Formats: sequence, structure tokens, C-alpha cells
Amino acid sequence: MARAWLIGVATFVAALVVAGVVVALVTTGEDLLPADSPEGTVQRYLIALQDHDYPLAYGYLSRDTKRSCELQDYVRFASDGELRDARMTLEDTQVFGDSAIVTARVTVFAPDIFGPSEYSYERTFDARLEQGQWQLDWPDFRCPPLY
Amino acid sequence: MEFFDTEFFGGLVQGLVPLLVLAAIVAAIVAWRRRERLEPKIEAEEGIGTLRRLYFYFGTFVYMMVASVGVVLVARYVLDELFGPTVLDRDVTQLALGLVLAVIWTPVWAWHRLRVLRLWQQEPAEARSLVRKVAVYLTLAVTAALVVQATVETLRWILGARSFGGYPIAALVVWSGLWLLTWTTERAEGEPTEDTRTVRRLYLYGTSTYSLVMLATGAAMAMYIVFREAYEGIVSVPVLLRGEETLRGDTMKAGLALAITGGAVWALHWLRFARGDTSSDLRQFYLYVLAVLGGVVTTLSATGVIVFGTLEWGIGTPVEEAAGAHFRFIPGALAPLLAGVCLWAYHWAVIQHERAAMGQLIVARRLYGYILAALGLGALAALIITLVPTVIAIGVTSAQDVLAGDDWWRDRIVLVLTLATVGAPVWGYHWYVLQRNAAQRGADERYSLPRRVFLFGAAGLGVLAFLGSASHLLFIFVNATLEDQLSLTLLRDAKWSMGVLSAAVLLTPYHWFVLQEDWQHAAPVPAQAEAGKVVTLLIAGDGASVAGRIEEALGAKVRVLERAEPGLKPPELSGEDIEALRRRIEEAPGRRVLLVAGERSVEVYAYR
Repeated sequence: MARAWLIGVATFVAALVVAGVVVALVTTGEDLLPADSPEGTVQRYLIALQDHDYPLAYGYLSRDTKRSCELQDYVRFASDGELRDARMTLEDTQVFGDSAIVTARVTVFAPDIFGPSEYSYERTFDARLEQGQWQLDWPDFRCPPLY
Repeated sequence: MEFFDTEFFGGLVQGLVPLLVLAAIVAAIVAWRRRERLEPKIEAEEGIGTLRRLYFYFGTFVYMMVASVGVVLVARYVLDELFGPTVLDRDVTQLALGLVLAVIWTPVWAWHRLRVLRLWQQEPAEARSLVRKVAVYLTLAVTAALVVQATVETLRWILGARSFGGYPIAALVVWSGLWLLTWTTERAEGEPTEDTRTVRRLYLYGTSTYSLVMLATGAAMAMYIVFREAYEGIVSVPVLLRGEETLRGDTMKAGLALAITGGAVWALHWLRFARGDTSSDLRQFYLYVLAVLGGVVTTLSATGVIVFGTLEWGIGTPVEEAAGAHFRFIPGALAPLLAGVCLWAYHWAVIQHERAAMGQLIVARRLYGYILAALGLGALAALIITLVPTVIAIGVTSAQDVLAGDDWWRDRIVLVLTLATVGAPVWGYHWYVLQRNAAQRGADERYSLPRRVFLFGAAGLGVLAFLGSASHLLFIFVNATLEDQLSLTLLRDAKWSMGVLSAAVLLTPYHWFVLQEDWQHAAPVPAQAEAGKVVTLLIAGDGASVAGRIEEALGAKVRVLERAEPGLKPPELSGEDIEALRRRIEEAPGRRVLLVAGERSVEVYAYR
């Protein structure tokens, strides 16, 4: 009985690993959200940061933010950090006329010798509608803060 | 000046408090043992009484520490003046303080020390005093630790990692002198009782432990520097600034100083002083729990880091784009891996050698096997606890909008595979051998203590994990239901508990089935009659060898009391005599047996 149970456990664990990998390969991937939505702008901004395309990411910032943070300053700050071992999922979007708040959940995975370690927190992005396009706004910072 | 005095005396008072606590604990232990009649008449009727002992022995220790600090301060000042760098205005405050402490406290210490020595000469029973031995070995432990610290600093100066300072040399000379003085006196006194031998063992194995850690750490630091230099040379990493981490840098020198000091102290205590002490439980604790287990954990952890990094490069999400940059962690993992393997291999070889000489190799291999099986099982449990939440998160995320990090799941799968690579072979191999032994040896193996502890431990922890995780899951569900917030996001909070629950559900029943198989295949071995006997041996002089032979025959510890008649010799007993004695002990009525050894024979008395 013990041996049969052991074989069953090993089979179940192996099947779980295979199933998880298959589902992940098939379903994960950043399906792009609509470009004319606040969450779509946030998504494209984060993808540009992830790809280290800083000029493209800079292009998603609002006029006021660009006025206080030039491209060279932005690139200098942006190159000090990156989205590492984290995934962001969309939690909520609230639109107030020509401004919006996009709430994302950031989950960071940091394994150590004692096993898996994971923590998550919420992050909000402010967006403003400028000439029919949603742009990201950071009114309280000279340059956008990083993760 | 006032601040310095206040700080110093405050520190002195703070240092006295733990000593007073220690003295109170020792007094309580002595009082308890007297009440339990474990030290029946030695402490009460002979010697000088507990309170006087506490004052003389612990007071002498305090006086010695203060006086030696004073001498070190004076010596440090003199050495700095003679050999130290030129300074515009050397602070004489510490010289003044050192002189005061040395002049006032040294005579006080000297008088008390002579008094303590005279106590032993006048009352030889004092050598059996637990309070005396604790004070002696406390002195040895503290002075040894100070010598070790001073030696490391002195070596760092010799190797050029620091500038000259008078303190390390002064401390080394003063406290090594005190250690030697105490050790020489203690060797002359000896340890006539089991309790005093235990105190000695605590010192020996405690010192061996921390010096072994120093040796392993220092060696690992030095190896890391060497491996890193080699790696950067092979991979051609463009180094902009080497700092102090070169082959001749301060880090290497500090590592060498640590390794040399730790190695010397460990060799002296383990290879020389503790040699031959093969039957003590403390030695087994040091070997199995500290040395072997420490080596195994270090080795497996370092192996896990290497496997994780390698798999991360293959299928995970490495941060670096170039392989040379990504695998930079290899030197830092390889060094502790080698240190751990050496620790593990050497101490396991010692265990096998000692146990084989005592005819207990099977016992040693059994315990070793269960320790490793437990570690492997822990890794497999961690595997399931990581895998289940990962699969749940993959499923949940597939129903959500992902803003960034679409490859997040890869590193989690890499961790799962790492735990499988490290845990499965360790658990699989050792558990296979243990199960094979159980099938071949029957009840002896199936009802052995390590196996019972392992199986009941695994089942018990599994039940606790099941109950805890199930409670948490139920709480999340009930709370969400009552707040009308049932949704898929509940899985985010619940997934780790689901992982623990899955591990408990999968692993606990297996160990329960194994327990049932043990019960079905063999009946428990009845406990031997003599194992339940409490045997006390009253014997003259050097009866330790006779006591050891009786212990071996009985398979149980024997309490030894020394007869006070002068000139009495222990009996010479043949193998047949020991065997006959064993039978008489077995047949004696009741649980308590007193053996009175004369010069020719041993009488057996049962008592209540």
C-alpha cells in the first residue's frame, strides 16, 4: 500500500509540473489591452521599460511630467532599476473625465535557501487625457519613481 | 573621564549579572541533585559548602577578569608606545584605568586563587564539586574565546591586513597565560565524577564547535577569492575595480587568519583533548547534529544554489544576458560547497570508525540514514508547497489581464526542479536503503528509535500542517462568504495554504502506511530487563575502566561513586566475571541495584 501511494504521489507531482508548464506556455503572454485606454497605456509603458526601450517609455509620459523630467534624466533614473522577478496584473481602472487611476497588483518572487518567498503589493498609476491619448502623470516627483 | 568610568562600571555590572544568574542556576542544580540524592553526601558533608564555593569560585573568576583587563590595558599602552605609530597625544586615560585595576584587583585575585588551590589540597573532595568545575571551565571558555579573538587580530597584523596595535598581542599573552595556568591546574585535579566529566565535555565540544565554524568560514572565504579570481580570468570579466578582494587583499588575509586560528584551536580541542572520549552523548551530539548535519545542510544549500542558477539560465528568466555575467555566482557557491563536503565527509568517517570499533556501526549508519532522509523529505515537501501555488497562480493569471512579466512562472518552475534535483536523490537513495534494511533485519530495524522518531515525526508534522492549513483555508472561505466577497482573487490569499495542505495530504498517509507495515511485519522487541535497572557502582580509585565494561555488558549507563578508603584498588574482572555480574544484576529484585566493588570482587545489592 505504501509503495502504491508513493508511486501515485510521484505521478501526481510530475503531472502537475507538466500541466503547469503547458498551461503557462499556452496562456501566458501579454495580450495587449486597447491602446486608447488608461490601462493600455500603463501596459505599453511597462513593456517598454521591461524591454529597456526608454525613449519609447518616455513617450508615454504626460506633458507636465516631461517638462520637469528631461529624457536624459529619465534614462539615467530608469537604468538604475528594472522590473525583475515581478509580474503585474490589472486590478482596477477608475476614470474621472480626463483623468484616470489604474491600480495594478505587483507580485515579486524571491526564493532563498529556505524555499519560496513571495510578496505582493498594489501600485497605482495616474493617467491624464491629452489630445485624445492617455498619458502617465507623476505630479509629485521630478522624474517617475521606479520599482 | 566621568562618562568613561560610568560606562566601564556599568559594563562591569552588566557583565556580573549573567554570572550571578549562572551561579544561581548552578546552586539550584546542586540543591535539586541533593534533594534527589543524586549527589548524596559529597556536597553536603565534604568540602566547604555551596555558598562558600559560589563566593570563592565565581568571585575568583570575576577578580581574574577585572585584573586581567587592567594588565591588558597597561600592556597595550606600553606596546603602542614602543612599537605603535607615532601619535601627537596618546590618551593616558586607559593607562591610568589599567594601572588602577591591575594594582587593586590582581592581589585580590591572587589571594583568592591561592585560597581556592589550598581548598583542593586540603579537601580532595573539592575536585568532585560541580560548582568548582563549572567555575574552572567557565574560566577556560572565556579566556579561550579572548585568546582566539586576539590571535585572529594578531595574524591579521602579521599578514598585513591591519596596522600594528598593542591590544591583540597584550590580550594574547595575558589571556593565553591565564588559560594555560587554569588548564594545568585542572589537569592535575582531573574529573573524578560523571558530572565533572560532563562539564569538561561541554567546554571541549563547545570550543570545538565554534572553532570548527571559524575554520570552515575562513577556508570558504579564502577559497571564494581564489575561485573568483580563476573564474574572472577564464571568463575574461572586465573588472573595473578589484578593491580588497584580490588574492593578496585584506579579505583573503582575514579569511586565512580565521582559518588558521580556528583550525589550531579545533585541532587542539578535538584531535588532542577530546581524543578517546568515544562513549559520551555530548560527543555524539557534536558529531551528528552540529558537524555532520551542519556539513550536509551547507552542502545541499550550496548545491541548490548552483542547480537553481544553472536551470535559471536554461529555462528561467536570468537577469544577465551574457553567460559569463550570469554564472558569476559559481565561485560564491562552490566555496561553501567544498567546505560543507569536507565537514560532512570527515565527521562521517570519524563516526563510522568509532562506532565500528565499538561494534555499533549499524546504529551509526541507521541514524545517519534517517537524518538524510529527513532532509530530503523536507526538500520534497518544499517542492509540493511551491508547485501547487505556482500552478494555481498560472491558472488564475490566465483569467486576468497581465500588464508586465509574462515569464514570471519560469523561475518558480526552476525552483521546483531544483528542489526535485536536490531532494529526490537524497531522500530516494537513503529511504530505499532504510526500507531494504527494515525488510532484512525485521523488528530490530522496524522498531528502532531513529525510525520511530522519523515516521512519527513525519506523520505528526503532516497532521499539524494539515490542520493549520485547512483552518486557514476555511477561515478565508468563511470570511469571504460572510462579507459577500467570494471571487477568484481568494485563491491569491489561499494558494500557499493550499500548497501546505497538498503536501500534508500527499506525504502523511504514506508514512502512516509505512508504520502499519512495520506493525504487520514484526512484533516489537521486548525491552531487556537490565535496561530498566538503575545501577550504581561504588568503586575505588581508577574504576572508570571497570565501569565502562559493566556499561557495555548492560547496554546502559552506570552511575559511579568513588570509595573514600585510601589505598583501595579496583578489582580485576575477567570477561566471565562481567557476564556473571550482568546476570546477577538482571536477577536482582526491583529497579535499583548497588554494586560495591572490593579489591577482589563486586557485591550486588538491590535497594529501594
